[in-house]
Amino acid sequence: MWQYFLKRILNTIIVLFGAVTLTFFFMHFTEGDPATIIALDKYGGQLISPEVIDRLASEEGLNRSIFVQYTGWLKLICTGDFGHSLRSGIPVLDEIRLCFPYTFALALISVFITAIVATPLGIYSAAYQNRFLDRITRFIASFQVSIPNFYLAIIFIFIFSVKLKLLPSFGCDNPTHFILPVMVLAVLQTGFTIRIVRSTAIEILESEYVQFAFARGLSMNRILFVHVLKNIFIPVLTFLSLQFLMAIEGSIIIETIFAWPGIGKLFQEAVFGRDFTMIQALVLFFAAIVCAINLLVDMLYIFINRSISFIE
Amino acid sequence: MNKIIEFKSLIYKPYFYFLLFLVLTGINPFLISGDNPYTTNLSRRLEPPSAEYLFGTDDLGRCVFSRVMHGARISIGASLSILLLSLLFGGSLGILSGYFGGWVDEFVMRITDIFMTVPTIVIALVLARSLGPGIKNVIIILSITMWTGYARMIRGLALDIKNRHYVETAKTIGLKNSYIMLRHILPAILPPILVMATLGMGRNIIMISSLSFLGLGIIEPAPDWGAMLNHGTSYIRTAPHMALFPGVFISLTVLSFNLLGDELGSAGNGRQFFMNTRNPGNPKGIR
Repeated sequence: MWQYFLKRILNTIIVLFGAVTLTFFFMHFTEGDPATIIALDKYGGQLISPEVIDRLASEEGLNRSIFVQYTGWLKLICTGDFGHSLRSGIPVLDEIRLCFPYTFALALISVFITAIVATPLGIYSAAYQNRFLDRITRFIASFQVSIPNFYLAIIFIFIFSVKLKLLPSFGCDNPTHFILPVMVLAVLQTGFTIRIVRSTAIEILESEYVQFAFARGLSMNRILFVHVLKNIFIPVLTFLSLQFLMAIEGSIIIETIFAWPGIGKLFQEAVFGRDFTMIQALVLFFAAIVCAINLLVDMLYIFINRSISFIE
Repeated sequence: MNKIIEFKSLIYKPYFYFLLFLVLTGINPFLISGDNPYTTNLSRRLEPPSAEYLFGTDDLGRCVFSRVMHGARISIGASLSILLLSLLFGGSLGILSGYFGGWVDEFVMRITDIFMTVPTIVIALVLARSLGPGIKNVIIILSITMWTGYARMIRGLALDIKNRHYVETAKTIGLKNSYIMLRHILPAILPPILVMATLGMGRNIIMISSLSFLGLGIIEPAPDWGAMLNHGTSYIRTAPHMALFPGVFISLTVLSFNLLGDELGSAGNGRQFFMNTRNPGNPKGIR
């Protein structure tokens, strides 16, 4: 088992390295001169002169060849120094550390709500296939899968803050600001999750030990919420971790719409401002989250499987 | 295998007609709407939907209905181009790596690993910022980011077929590898690829409009749905129709492609096949 994880971690490092390299070269496809763009951003149109641009370029090392920049930057990250933001001057890691809790909170709350809503609905639709509840949840689920997140966000803003004037549509000052973004994420996730819960539950319902439970005359509710729920736990947990990743990914668009001060908005601003150090650090951060969650799920899988076999 | 698509069952599906409608409007948008999507009329700004302007007018007095109809051409056209490019590239690499295995396989899979670790939208945004906006660039960007998913799945499918007896027989009698791949493996994995492609159309449309929505894809004045949504968001308080109608069309189009994909999957053995490759421990396939 340890060998397996060692291999996995080695693989993760290779993948992270590849991701960083890829974005580095993707960023430098650009036609415009980065120093000019950053100078424009920093000092405005009137104030910049060729001297200012040159000074900025040499300060940030933007005038060296791409390959030199790449190796220099790589050396820096290996020492744990991600540099400072080209726009604000604050160390990149500090800024990420400041913003990430907001994104994390959104993702976690939405996944939690998804789990609470989707698990019972999915199990019920599996148990009573093709009945009214099953049909209606499947119908709604297929809609949820198809609506792009930004459109759902706009619809919610339109309904709840423009028409009903109930909820604030941007910023993050008090708990009511959480409601709309969390709702958007949760609504999008439940569609997928119900489908997965349903298909997993159908399989479990067809298995022999559940058939035996039926034969013993146990009530439907007992079977569903003891036998089925117990066995659905691991696959659904795996799937929810994927949903968590999707929520983090979706944060880039959702946070832009709701002006939410998380890493999604940070990334979007960095991309628009061509803040190279920030983009690099955030790409690495996103990739690291994905790898970490995948690794965690694998470990959890093995751990839970082992404990199950140990008890029996 | 001969009857991949049950056309008969599609006759009763509303989404089939919606897609047909979109394709026809995509071919000639002026069939449906007479107005020019670029003509501005500042005396009739931000008008709500009426008989004359079915979806109202935008902040420059342009007809939103005709812009949405012209948007069908951009959305369907661009996502079809992305699909073809990424399927061709990802598919060929997938078949090659599934069939040959070894270091080819290892290399291709590591590259797909990298692409799959970084969220698609992150790579797309970085690329979009350096290449700049425009339809051509959107197609390039999304083809670069989307091919990996196809490569993975098609590799899995090819790997499965490769060990079938008829392929081994073909190898034994000394047929060329390229012949086996094109004539024996490709036809066998075509139904699941068709399902993947249909579902992929929906995903492409969402990605295109996401990029446009963030202002890095197709930009004004081109009548793209995502760009219209982005533009309309600023007027959500005064003229909500500007954002709502393009969004309805994005959602309905994606929904139709998803439903069509599900239908194709359940008609042939596409979906089961498709699911098997993702989860080898689940021989029956997820329903």
